[in-house]
Amino acid sequence: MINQTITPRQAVMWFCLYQTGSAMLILPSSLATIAKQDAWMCIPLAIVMFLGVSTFYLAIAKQMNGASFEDYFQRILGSLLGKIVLFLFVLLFPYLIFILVLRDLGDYLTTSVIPETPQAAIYALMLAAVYYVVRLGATVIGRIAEILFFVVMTLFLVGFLSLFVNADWRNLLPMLEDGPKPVFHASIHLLAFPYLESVLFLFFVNQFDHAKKWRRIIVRSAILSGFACFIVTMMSLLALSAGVISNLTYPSYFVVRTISIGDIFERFEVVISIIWYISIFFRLALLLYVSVQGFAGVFRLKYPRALLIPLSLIAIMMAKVVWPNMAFLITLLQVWPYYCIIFGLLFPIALWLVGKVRLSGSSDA
Amino acid sequence: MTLYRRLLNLTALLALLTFLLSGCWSRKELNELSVVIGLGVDKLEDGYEVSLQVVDPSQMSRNRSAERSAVIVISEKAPTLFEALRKATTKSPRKLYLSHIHMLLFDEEAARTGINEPLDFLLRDHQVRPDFYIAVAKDFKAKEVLGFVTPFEVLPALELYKSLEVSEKLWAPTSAIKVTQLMKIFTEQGVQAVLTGITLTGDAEKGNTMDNVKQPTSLAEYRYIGIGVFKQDRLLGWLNESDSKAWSYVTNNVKTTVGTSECPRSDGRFAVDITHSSSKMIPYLLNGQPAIRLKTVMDANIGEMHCKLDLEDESNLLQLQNTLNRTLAELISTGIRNVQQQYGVDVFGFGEEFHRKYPKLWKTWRNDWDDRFKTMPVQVDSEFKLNKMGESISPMDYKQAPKE
Repeated sequence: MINQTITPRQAVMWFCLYQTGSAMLILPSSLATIAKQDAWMCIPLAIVMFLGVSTFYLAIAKQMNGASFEDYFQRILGSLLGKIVLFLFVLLFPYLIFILVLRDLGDYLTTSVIPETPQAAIYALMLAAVYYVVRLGATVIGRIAEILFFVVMTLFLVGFLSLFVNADWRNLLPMLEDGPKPVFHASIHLLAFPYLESVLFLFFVNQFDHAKKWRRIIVRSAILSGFACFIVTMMSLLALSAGVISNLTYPSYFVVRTISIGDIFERFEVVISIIWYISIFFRLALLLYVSVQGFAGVFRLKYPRALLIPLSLIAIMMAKVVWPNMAFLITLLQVWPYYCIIFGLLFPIALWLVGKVRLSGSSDA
Repeated sequence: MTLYRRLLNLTALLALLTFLLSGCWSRKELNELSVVIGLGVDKLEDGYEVSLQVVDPSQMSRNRSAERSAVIVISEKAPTLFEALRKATTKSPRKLYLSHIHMLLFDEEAARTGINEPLDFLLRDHQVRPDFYIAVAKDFKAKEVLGFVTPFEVLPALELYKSLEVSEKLWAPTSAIKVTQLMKIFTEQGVQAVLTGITLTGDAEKGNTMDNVKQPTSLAEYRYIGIGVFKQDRLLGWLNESDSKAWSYVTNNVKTTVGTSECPRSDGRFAVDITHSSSKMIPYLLNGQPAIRLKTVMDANIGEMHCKLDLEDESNLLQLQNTLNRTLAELISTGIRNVQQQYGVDVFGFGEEFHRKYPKLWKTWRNDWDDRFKTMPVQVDSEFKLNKMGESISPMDYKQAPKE
């Protein structure tokens, strides 16, 4: 599982599907709640901010200097402290997100698509596939991403561009009604979720020849997924208006339900579920991959695969209890961006600073 | 050994495949479902009476019997829609399937007490698609309208749906409102909702029997009437035909329609086919107060001519054009004035125009917008163009009539 190669092209597609995953379904509503009819402006703004953050990630990648991310912790923090910090980081960030995403998947499917299916069945089916693919390693995931990326993009464009028929441009007016502040606020939310999760891509740095190439990959994937988010948000705004989408649980799904062109081209909202299911698959695969790699680094495991089944089973149990009800989730989503900032920005800054101090003394290899 | 292993693997794979054979977790075969195509909500003192128009599946086949109705109307009373719908399964051997609702009808009582409550279920339920039309049954219960036997289509809800769709395109006073439009209006402060009304004429009681369609002249007919004005989610009252027309012109809901006017110099009327109509609201400030200039542009062809006029002469045509222009501008401004005076709610969405153009001022206006709307001056600038006159030129008797 370790040191499996993945091409830059595959990585871009995988990371892009990762970023569109959870965000796409709820994004229009969470952005429109804050920025109202200006929600669409947040996306380019967040991407620009992310470009700045990515140069900072690049600095860390350079400090890693060819070692893996899990070794980097121990190199700069010492063996024991490095292991403890790495353990906490993996547990509280990728593995926690893994559980949350799983639950999110279950909630969405049982709310909108198949309400009578028990969530455990949904989790088990999805995890069986994720377990299998992570077991096979990054090369296989990369190839699947390469195939499914175009399926997702085609379905996506057909689904959302056909909303042009219902578009009403006046829904975007007035621009900046309450000044630029809400737009800025919403873009911080967007930057934090999902873009600051890109810190997890640091686990992949040593797969590429040099760190600059790695940065190019994450920037490209962010631009691609930003483009997708932009279309979703813009189309939902144009077709339904900000007021409507901010009160919907799953606006991207709802908005596609309203398409009806010539009484023939209609009722293909399941397409959204398919897109979402596929991208969630890649999201879970990446999160499990990273968690396994991280935990294996902590315990110096010879066969990291041994962790796959226990981690998946724990996730099934945890997914059931991770939040008690929908209202809790909605409150959680308001706090979540700050949580992401802690792990996606503040924590790497701390690491980098420590690294700067620790590594400057030793040889600048 | 390897052969043995392979066999074992194959058996394991085949065993796994049996899981797929059972199909979906909660599959529902078509013969276990009742497809609901129309939904009626009548307000009772303590709750709602929900009527469901359900397709009778045996009547959808080619050799259907003429004795049975093609749809079944089930109704049930309960404090909430959801409860009523579940309770209705005690009267149906199949599970109700709501994805194909085409029409939603409220009775006037339900509309007057507020439609937000009953709509909530329909927006929350995962089966219901947000693409049905909504109308208010006037003078009749929604249940009675749903039980009406329609002459053209076997499925009444589909006929109501299509009839609304077609008449909206050809006849300005009706307006087809979908639930997503309504949702949008409810979230905005500068516009109030309208819904079209439907009523039954003739012997309504017989209209609910199969006898209604057994002879060429139906015993009773359904009819879309003008639109109902809402304040928030409550019905205030109805607009007459010409005011409904004005609403459609102002809000750009006219695809094509008919315009008529009196002849300029002689008795009789003439009618034109309005092929294109667009209007633009231009908000501006008049002494710091809101005012609207409405610009309408219409194209029309002559549809019917009772006037004694020589249409080969261009000046006569221009005269007709001017007459119509004045009539329609008058119709629109009267319509707006009537709404302002009678109901005092901004169903035209002028407020939203101010919201877009003057977002800062709007913040101070939005809470008492209806009061400002009541006294707001509206100026109508209309531009009317008469183009073609169809296959004949002057009226047939014109040439014989002695020239003046």
